[in-house]
Amino acid sequence: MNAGYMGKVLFVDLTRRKTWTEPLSEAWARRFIGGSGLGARYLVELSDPGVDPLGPENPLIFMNGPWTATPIPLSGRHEVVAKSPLTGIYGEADAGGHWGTALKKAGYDGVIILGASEEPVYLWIHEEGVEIRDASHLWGLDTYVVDETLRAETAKTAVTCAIGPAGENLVKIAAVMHDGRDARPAARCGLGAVMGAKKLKAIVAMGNRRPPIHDRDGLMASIKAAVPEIKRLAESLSKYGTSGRMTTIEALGDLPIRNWVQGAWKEGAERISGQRMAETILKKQYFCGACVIGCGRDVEITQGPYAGVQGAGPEYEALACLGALTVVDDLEALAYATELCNRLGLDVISTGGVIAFAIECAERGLLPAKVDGIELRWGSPEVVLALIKQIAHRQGLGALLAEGVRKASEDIGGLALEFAIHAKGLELPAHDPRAYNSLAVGYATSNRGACHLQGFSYIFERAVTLPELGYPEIQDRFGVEGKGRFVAVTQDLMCLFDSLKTCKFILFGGIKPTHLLAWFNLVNGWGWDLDRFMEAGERIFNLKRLYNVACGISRKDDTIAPRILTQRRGEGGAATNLPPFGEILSQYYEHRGWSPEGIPTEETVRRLGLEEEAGKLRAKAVMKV
Amino acid sequence: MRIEVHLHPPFTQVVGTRTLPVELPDGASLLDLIERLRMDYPNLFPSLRSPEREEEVRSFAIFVGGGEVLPLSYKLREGEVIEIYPPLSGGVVPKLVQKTRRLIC
Repeated sequence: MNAGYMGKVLFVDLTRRKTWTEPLSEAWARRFIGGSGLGARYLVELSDPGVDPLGPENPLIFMNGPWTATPIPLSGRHEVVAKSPLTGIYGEADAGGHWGTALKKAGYDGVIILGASEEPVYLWIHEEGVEIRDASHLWGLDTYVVDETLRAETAKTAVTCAIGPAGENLVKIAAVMHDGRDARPAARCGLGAVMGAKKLKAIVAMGNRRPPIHDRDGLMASIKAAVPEIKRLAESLSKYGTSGRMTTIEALGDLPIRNWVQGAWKEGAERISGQRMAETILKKQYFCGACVIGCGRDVEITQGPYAGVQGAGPEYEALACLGALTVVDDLEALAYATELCNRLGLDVISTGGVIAFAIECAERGLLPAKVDGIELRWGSPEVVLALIKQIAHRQGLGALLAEGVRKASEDIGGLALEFAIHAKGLELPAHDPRAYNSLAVGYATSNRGACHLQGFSYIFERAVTLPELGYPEIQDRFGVEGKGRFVAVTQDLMCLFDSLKTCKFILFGGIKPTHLLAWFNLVNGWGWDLDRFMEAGERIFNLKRLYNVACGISRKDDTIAPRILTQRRGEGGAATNLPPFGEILSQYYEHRGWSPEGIPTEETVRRLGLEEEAGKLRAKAVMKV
Repeated sequence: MRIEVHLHPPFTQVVGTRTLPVELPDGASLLDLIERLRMDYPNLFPSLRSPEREEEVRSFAIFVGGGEVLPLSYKLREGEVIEIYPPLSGGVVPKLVQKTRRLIC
């Protein structure tokens, strides 16, 4: 097998209670690399696009990349892939921490869960074998307790991946959590519910193996040269975490406030900023596997109403979605809300989105002002905390909100559809397309629904360049010309990050595609050039699009909530801008080689070598093209 | 000319105040302001090595005027308010690219 890979994938059939390994296909690895790309390829192979996401026929795929468990900086990551129960289309979620590394060190490039168990089970994966174990004593427990219990049952140094009560209750915005109290989520797309539907409570992994590396000395020398610069340039991220940018993001009109209606919130942003956290509840930094930046926050609250909070602190997205979206500016309450989401196993982005949606519904008289004794209003930590618990347990209003904003708005009906802020059913993350034109088409075309990281385009419109890819200057955030190509190129690049498995934040440390390519060739010795490298990213993006097309997706679905396209923020840093959506989407389709209806053309499929996959998907498609 | 600099945390801790009046020659640019601040407050951006590089500057601070990020070449005007916010990301290091290439090729 090629360097960078362990060469085998573990299969677990929970219906038949059988486990086996299969060799990793070298041909697939060369075309789809790993992580997200290989995960998507296995999904196409193992299931139909029309399957019930919560049925036993939907495989749940955990996939490492060729860089996981190598010394490449920030490479402690893996991808979780399945058809999403939230969106009904391709679903994936990336996670940091140490679990992916542990799985690879146990000897596997990935683990694929098939079928479903009738009783709760967990998996114990180590170098000597795999065990399917009873988990009835863990059902109902939160992810922190599960981690402590399972490491006592298996090995102290083992790493846990688990669902909380939200996943068990098939909450459509449930996350797959990793690393216990350090709480690294594969949050988006409700994949925790897929795990819950399989009655799979946890997967514990441990090992000491390492993947072979083609040119270890060359790789180590290159990394040694890069690390001091990564540390210097990412110094602020290291010191203040992702929320260290909170005040800047607010100033530029990028922070969503009051369910995306309010334009400015200066004092609120300062109160929940990373700088404030550093002065108050921050205990230390947290580093995922192979990380040299350590943007993770480890917090502790020892007194007051939220005393007892200890472990993973809120990141920018948690503070913005649970806080700014609901106008809550109490940092300690938000740290507690984040810990609740981590323990219960909820995606903080979608959770904040549905809570803000519910408050606006109540404000407009579409939901009762008081639900189960809670008065729904803006700026109330009590509302946020109570609804988090209700959602995870599907109690009261939580039963409605557990389905996500799209379904909830359809159930409520009327005007509620106007302010359900999502794309393809996935709640928008906390970066505003009115502040960065690229994000509108980026969210609309992202294969998993609204996502800032599938393109990460806005960082190149505010602070970073991509000279090798034709962007030697920082891009104009309100620009239109060439924006469609720009969105596509950044998506292709991010497909590489998601497949190699390294953190996109390495771009904040001065790392460019040239560095990635150099490390790629040093790890596996394939000797690719930049064109071939980027084409692999484009192939991976198009494979997921073909899966979605087979699910019935086309241009009609490539849009975002009308509020974001038509309603100005009105004040603050991007007060008047509205993204020129149609123009950029048209450019985008043309660059991608898709038809005007958003379908990859035969020529595009051929150019990217996706004929076999397109054929398979066409045969099983829900929508005939 | 005189301009006013508004600082946001963590820069307020270094300077000790939120507002800072700065005297600059007429026609001064944002880069001139940055150089002046580095001279007066060496601890403000201690790791910034190439202030003339837009991308690197943005690794250490974001300079905002009228709600927009200002480029280094921006010509300052009398009485203008410039806000200094924490950075949003990191920057390019051409030396690093060259060094890595040498190691590989």
